[in-house]
Amino acid sequence: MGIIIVILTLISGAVLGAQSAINPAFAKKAGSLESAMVNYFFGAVIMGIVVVLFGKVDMIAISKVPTWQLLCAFFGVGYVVLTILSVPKIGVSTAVILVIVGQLTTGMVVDNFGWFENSVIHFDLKRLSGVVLMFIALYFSLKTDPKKKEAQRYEVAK
Amino acid sequence: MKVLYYVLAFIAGASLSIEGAIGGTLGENIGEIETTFYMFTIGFMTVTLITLFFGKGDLSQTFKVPKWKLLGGTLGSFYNLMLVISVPVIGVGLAVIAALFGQIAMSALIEHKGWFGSSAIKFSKNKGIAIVLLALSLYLVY
Repeated sequence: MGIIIVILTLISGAVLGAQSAINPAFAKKAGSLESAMVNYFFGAVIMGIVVVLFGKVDMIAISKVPTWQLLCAFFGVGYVVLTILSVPKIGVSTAVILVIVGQLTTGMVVDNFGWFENSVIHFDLKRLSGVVLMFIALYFSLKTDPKKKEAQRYEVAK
Repeated sequence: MKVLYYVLAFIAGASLSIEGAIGGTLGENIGEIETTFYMFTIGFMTVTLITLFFGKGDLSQTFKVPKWKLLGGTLGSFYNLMLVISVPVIGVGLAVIAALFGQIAMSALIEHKGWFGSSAIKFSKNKGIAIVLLALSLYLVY
């Protein structure tokens, strides 16, 4: 089960890679915030259709969960807004690296303590070496051709 | 002053992981696609407000650009859905690494082919090393 989910997540990352190639094309014309707004709109429309077709259509259940669980949406928006704020000041590649560092650090910490009712996965030597390899990979991935600013590809904004 | 923006970018990444961590839990309670729908609906409302006050761009471009340029949100919703599904099963850390692997490999492919109007950048040795290291990293964390 786990491995299938890992592969599917990997594929969804690939889809996100395509998205981050498409986004700048639109953001250049319409503006970053406007582009994020349009993306959110279409995301909501598509998921609305998917919910009607395949969902339990029991959105009432949402009124029964603790409020903190509803905050997830704002963290997503926080990411979009903070990236839009920081990219012009520190450049795309620096921003990308810091975003990934933030993502990984937080991910490992959340897993280690099992925050937000997630199961506990302890941070061990294997995970540490995985994270280190990840950063070396990032270094190689970004140093290829600085002129082309290829880091732009990872500029992920919903 | 610049330090502030470094911190902001770091917090942006942290927010992404927290979104996944909380979204996964919400997904278990109300359903995965329902959670993704909720995220995008509230996200749209919030970003609309922010754009109303701070947006300096041109929203009317939405109707002028070729339609493929509007695909971003659709693709993003699939990614978010997958994250909500995967986090409860494999944890946030592994989900982040798997998604980054897919993202970096796909970006390399897109650039190699020059798709979506990106300037073609040939697949280099460094890119290859990066992808092998990422695969190793994924294996270790898994």
